[in-house]
Amino acid sequence: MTADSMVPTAELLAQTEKEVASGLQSISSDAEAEVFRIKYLGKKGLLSSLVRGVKDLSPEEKRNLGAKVNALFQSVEGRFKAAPWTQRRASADAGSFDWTLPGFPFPRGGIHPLTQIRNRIRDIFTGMGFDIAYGPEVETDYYNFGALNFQPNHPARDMQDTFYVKADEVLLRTHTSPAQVRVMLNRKPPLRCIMPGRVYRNEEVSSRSYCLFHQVEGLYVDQRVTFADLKGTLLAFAKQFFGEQTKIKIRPSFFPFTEPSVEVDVWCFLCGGKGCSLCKQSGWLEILGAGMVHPNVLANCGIDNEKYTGFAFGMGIERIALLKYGIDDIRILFENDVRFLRQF
Amino acid sequence: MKFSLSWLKDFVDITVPAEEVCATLTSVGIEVASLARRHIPAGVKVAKILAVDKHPNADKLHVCTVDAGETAPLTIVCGAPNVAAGMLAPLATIGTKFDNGFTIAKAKLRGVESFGMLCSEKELGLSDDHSGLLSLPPDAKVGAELSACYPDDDIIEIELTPNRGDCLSLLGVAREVAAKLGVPVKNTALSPAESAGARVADLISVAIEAPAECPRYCGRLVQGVRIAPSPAWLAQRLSDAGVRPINNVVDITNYIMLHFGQPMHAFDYAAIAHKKIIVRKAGVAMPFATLDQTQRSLVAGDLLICDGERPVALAGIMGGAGSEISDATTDVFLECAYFNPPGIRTTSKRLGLSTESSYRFERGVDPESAVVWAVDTAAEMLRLYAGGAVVPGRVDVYPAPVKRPAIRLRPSRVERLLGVAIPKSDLVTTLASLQFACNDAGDDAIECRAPAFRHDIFVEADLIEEAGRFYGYDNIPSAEHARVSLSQAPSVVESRTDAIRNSLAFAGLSEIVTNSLTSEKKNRLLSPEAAPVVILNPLSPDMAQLRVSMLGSSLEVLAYNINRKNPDNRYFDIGRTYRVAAGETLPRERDVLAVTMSGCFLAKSWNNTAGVKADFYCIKGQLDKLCADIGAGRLDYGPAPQAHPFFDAESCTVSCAGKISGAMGKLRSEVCAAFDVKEPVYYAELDITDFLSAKPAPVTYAQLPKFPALERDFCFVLGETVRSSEISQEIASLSPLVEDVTPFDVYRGEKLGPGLRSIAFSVKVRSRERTLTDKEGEEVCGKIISAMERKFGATLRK
Repeated sequence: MTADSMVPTAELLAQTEKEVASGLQSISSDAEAEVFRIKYLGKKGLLSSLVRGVKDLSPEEKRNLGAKVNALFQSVEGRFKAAPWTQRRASADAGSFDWTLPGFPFPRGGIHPLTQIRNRIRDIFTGMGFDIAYGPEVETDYYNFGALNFQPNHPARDMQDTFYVKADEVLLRTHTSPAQVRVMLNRKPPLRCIMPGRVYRNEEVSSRSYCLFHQVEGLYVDQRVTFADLKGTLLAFAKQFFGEQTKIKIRPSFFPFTEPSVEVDVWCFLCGGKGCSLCKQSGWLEILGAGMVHPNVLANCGIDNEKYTGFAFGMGIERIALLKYGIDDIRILFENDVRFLRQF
Repeated sequence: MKFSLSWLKDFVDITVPAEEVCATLTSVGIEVASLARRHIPAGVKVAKILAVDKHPNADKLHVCTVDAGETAPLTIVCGAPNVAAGMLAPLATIGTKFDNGFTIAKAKLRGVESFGMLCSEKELGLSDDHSGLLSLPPDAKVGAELSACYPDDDIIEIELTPNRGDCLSLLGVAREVAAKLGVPVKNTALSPAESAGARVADLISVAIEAPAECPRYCGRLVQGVRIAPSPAWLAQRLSDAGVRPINNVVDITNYIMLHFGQPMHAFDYAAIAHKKIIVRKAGVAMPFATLDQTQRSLVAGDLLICDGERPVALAGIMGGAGSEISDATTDVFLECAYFNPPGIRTTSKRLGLSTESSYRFERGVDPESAVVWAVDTAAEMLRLYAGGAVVPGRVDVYPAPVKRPAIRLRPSRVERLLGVAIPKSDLVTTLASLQFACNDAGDDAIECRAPAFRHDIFVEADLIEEAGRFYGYDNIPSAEHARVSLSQAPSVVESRTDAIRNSLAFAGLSEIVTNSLTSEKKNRLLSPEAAPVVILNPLSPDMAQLRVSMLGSSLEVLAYNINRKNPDNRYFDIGRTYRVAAGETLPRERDVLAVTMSGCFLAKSWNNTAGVKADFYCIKGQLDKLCADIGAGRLDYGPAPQAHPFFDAESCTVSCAGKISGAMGKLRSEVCAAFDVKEPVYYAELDITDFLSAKPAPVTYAQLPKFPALERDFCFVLGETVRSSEISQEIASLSPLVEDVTPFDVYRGEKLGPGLRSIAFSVKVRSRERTLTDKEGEEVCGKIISAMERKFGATLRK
């Protein structure tokens, strides 16, 4: 017999079993559980000592008591581990654990609302089979105006206040439409393409206008493209973007590069067409300009305007962002206040 | 343009309410900006001011005794400067309720009781004139309701697209409304009752020396005109249109312009030298004083109206000082001409002088009918409302009548473009209602000529638009199917840009979108060597150039947020930079990624009270992660260029497989200070243009190791100029078994001695064929230690 072993006897076993049973029952805290564990199950605990004492028994006693000692140990250990207080032990005392402290401050980033809207528009049109093209922001007067059927010295040029880099030759594009011209010149129909990008207008910065903004231009040129296709495409877009209930309304308008030209209004998604402050009581929101590609534009781009027809449309991303999020000042989109950016 | 609905009714019988008129206008492409009801409330009466006394307690107020048709005169306190005894003016009597809810009640004004309010035009909603009381004509009946003189009306304001100059008049708007409602447009032109005596041709001659610029010139002479205020109805129509009434002659010319769309000019006949009018182009540059008393610098080619001696008007834009109507004018020569649009626009743009007249001529007026109606009607109105005598005959110089080309319209093409079949007869009906001349030209053809007032009809598609807008775009069915192009691959640029954005946003950076216009000063500070793109007509010096670097925008955003108590900032910006490309028309535009960090990358928190400050290695790790995330491969780092304009010594250049290049590191404090940022800022600017469009490299799978690796740590003491990467590369080159070398501790201190540092590496050694023995591991270790000593003079730190 060594110091930390105890020779088991039948009485000792029975007494220990009783003691342990009541001990287990009376545990009500982690601290008491630990006392119990040390007293019975720890290295020098009673049950551990009894287990070690088995080796000092006579072979006959070993047969008799050995298995019982081991069984008792395992049963107590099992009951102890399965008891509720040991499960609680991992998260300390229920009373003192403060789960309300903040979690680890992982940095949170985000994608700018203008990008989110641009990409949503892009995804809808790419889903319809449109591909994507780009163009330079600094353009020639020809691509921005001339090729798009803006007649020289016509008041239509006043529709878009222009920043010039070289008088009458090089400018900051006022719309994404010159990208249309580049696509039509560089590729052959059928063409189904959207052209997102940044455009500039020489307008005083105010809550309603900024010196630059972003557009998504669309173009579809093929042998049998009609105004009905334009309507169908834009209606499908509006439903995906603004919701299944959305309706569109089309008004005649004017752009030099489309004929017919129209403005497309979308059912006000805020009031559902009933009239509210967002839609200025009209029930409709002006969202985009569109039309059938002007035969002169097709001809300027080397496309047979008898064989091919096409439609084009353009929308302002900022305008949609302002409407969608109820923002009343366009400048906030370019201030990049992190408290603003975190909301998207 | 603004007008009253009652005026429009001169031309068209309209029985529907104003709202429906507006809907009709919208449906044909005339945008309605506003609709306002004009209503004089009951209780506003015609009153006669019997006496005007000074207010005892206020210098600017008067106490008036007023007869409003009641049994006894009323006492009214009034501040209008034009109040005078004997005057007739509107009085809002007690109980009058205005549309804005304001009700007139008895009131004490500086101690004097007032029993009503004498009103200005503005107070009655008749115009914006608030300079004094509305002076009513002497024949108005005292005590009568003013609404009898000013019946309710609706004021409609429209906005026109630049192609529809023909709608810049009541006549033009009426034509569209009538066509849509299917009713006729009434002829409102007057034929003047001419006086007996000399004919106009004997009193003035007109010659056109520039027929291309001035295809037609009409005129009439009205003698014995008395300048006086216009009749109330005329003045009111002008006020409704936002035009201030001046006197009968000026008002009539303005009225005719709004009525028929034909600008006109009235000359004082007495001031026309030699009674000759010559329309010619200026031969040389010259000064010219316009009637607004401004000297204008004309150039050769500007179109002039001259008399026998000198220019008297800048054709189609503004009359000259010296020949305009004055109070002494008795004989008036009326000019109604057609000037070609481009010439007027050129001169108007150059002089920066846009008038109601030039605005209409630029967009094209009617050379055929309205020009004659206008001059005749104006002459008759001068007879009726200015007591003039109309000289018999009309000047009309029209050498080559304007012809409209025939355009063929194919009903099949209408269907091809609109996607809906419109019967030929309907097309003809629509176009005829818009005054197009239509002739049947075969099975699938109509030959159409646009009316002279339309300057926006050139090709078949223009006719199809006319058909479409009157058919109603909302009536064209929406296609339910679309063909999909199979020819184009999905966009690599988009997927790569998405990948960059997602990687950085997930890592905790916020995307910013910034202005690409910047100042010359900022461009010079950030990239003195770059050739910037300069804007000729900038909004302000702050936006006079396109940016050559993204840094300016990023620092502005940083300063903005730091000033708003946000000390911890992490941004990225994907935008373009622009530089002049030598020998090219267009500049070089590059897609650039800018990453900015300042303050804590990981914010301070209760269990990490220091937080993790952004530093060089923070942004470096961010870029390494980014390049791995987006499949760009490993970034290579090189020493920073000497004397970089914005990076300080704690920086380096970066590149990636020739597709990404740039620099990163700590910004120079003086550059940050120029943007009012005092905190340390870490920044990277990478040109990603080539990467965005490069073909993606295929991903190949490397088999995972089957055998365990041995790991050994070494700590070397060596010169502090030896770069960590040199050591890693040296170790990796020693044996093919070296799989990974990672520095895990760097130490500088007195114990080591000056110029030395210790750097600890964890080296992983593994064979792909078998489990390495300890002996093999020891061999590699020995090699490493001796190589480090040999190559770098490094000693193993115990």
